Amino acid sequence: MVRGRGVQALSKAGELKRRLQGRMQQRRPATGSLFQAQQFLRRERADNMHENDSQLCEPSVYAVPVAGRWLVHAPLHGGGALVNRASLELIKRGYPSWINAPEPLREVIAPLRGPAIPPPSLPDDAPCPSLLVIVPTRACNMKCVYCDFGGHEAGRALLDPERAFCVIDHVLTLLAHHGAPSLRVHFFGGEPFVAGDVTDAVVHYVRAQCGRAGIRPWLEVSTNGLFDAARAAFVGDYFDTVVLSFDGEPAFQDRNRPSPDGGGSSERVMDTIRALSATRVELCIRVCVTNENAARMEDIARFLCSSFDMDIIDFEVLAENTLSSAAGLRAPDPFEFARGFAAASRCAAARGVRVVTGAVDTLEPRHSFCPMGTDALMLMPDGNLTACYLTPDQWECHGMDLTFGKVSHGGSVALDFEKMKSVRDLVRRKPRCERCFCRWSCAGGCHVHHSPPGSPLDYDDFCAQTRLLTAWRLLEELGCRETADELLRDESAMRRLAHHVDDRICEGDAR
Amino acid sequence: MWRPSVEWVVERRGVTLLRPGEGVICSVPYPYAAVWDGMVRGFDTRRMLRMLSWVARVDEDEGRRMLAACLGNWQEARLIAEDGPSA
Repeated sequence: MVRGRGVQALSKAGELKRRLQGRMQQRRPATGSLFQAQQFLRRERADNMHENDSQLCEPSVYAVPVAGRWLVHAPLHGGGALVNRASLELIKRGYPSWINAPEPLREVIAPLRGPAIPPPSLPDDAPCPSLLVIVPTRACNMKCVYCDFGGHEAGRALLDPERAFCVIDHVLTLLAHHGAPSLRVHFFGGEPFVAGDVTDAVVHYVRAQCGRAGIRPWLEVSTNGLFDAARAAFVGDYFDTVVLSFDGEPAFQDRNRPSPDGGGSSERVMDTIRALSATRVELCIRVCVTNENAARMEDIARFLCSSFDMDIIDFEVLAENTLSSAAGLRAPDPFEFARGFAAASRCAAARGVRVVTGAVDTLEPRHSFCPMGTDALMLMPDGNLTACYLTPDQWECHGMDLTFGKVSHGGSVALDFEKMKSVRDLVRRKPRCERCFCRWSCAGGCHVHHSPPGSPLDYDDFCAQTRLLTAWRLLEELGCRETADELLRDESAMRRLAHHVDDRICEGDAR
Repeated sequence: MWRPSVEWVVERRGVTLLRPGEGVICSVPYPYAAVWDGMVRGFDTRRMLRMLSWVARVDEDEGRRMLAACLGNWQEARLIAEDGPSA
């Protein structure tokens, strides 16, 4: 029997990738720049732009020191430039009018003088879930040494599919009301395919109901990839995006992500990656970076790119916990992570693979690092609807309550809109981020682990690596590759940028 | 156990069945597309019944009736063949 894949097999690249590429093309650099700078303008969303520069005293233009020069970043204008100190002073003095700016500087600051888009946020009206996360179970078929989700010891409770169906119907009704064209559904765990039949049923139900409603489904899964060829074929046929956790090289995988019996998992997981490589899904390999493997990030990228056909490598630093400490693992040094990420990016880019990390997203401004605060609904195995996929104990210890609804056994969906609004407010309040040029890209990182209410105002290691990598990426986008490399070669330059106290150049805020 | 006698492609609204040299035979819409998926992955009858009942949101008796009719139609149209005892 030959399996046919014709209709959905038109392109290896997924819809998300095309969408992202489309946005990138809209930000192409302009030519004719001065001060070794290139500039770009975001022309989309013109209808939403402010007409008055005076409104820009909301911090919207930032500058950070980069190896003897200054990177000016205006995320809400979609512009930026690399300038020397004298030019930066002119920009600061002239801001926001620049009436007396000399002619050459006017060209540099032209993108910054244009109208800015409003800061990203959600309206205060009825919820419109951008994303539905389904957690079919917290149980897992692996025993990763750093996982504090409960892993193999987690409860074996499975989600009642009927509860998922009720939420899907509810969300489709909301989307139809808002005229939304698509529904994004992400399966998370534990390991979602431990509850294989539940996941299958929900996948089929989403497709069936979306077909009836004329709404396009987009199905994603976060998985450990420890399953057989039949399951891999199902995933390849029915999912659009797969985020598969694999720690980069077999030695790390087998040590840190073993089977419950302690045996290595790398061979079976690599079989899955090979199988998925041959399908149409957008495949993202997620690598946990620790003090052990940070120095090998470039080698990991080379190994993955030469072994598999994937679209994205996602390097995420270890979220330290008591289990990871017991295993002798720590988060990597932020400077080493930044250097490794940059080297891995170059290596993978040469093979057509994109390298990402969650906090460094310069595609367009965002107000939240994750789906939290965007009205995303996350359905837990017990029927609770939450704003975060983490286990409740992880947010409750910070005094946070992120449960805002419940689906009963009988199938009724109860959503507390006031609590949803309080979660929207929660992600808006990030005192540490107000002076940081990554405010509208990192947006504070994990709202539970990194920037819960009451977190310190000083930049930490996560901030440091995010600031370095965001600057590095912006320089690359500006075409200033040599400066980007120079930054990551010079430890004192890295330190100066990472810990620059206040990046705002707004009048009255300039530092 | 049932097995498909034709080729198929997964589509947004279900599954499309094809025969080499003949082209498209028919489309299988939901909820029956879930049965087709279970069958090609080797589900036994009981597991296919549970999947159909879930996706169609019907009770087990109605699911059993729908499954029998579906498999009967497919067998009659020579889209599937039985190659062993169902579990």
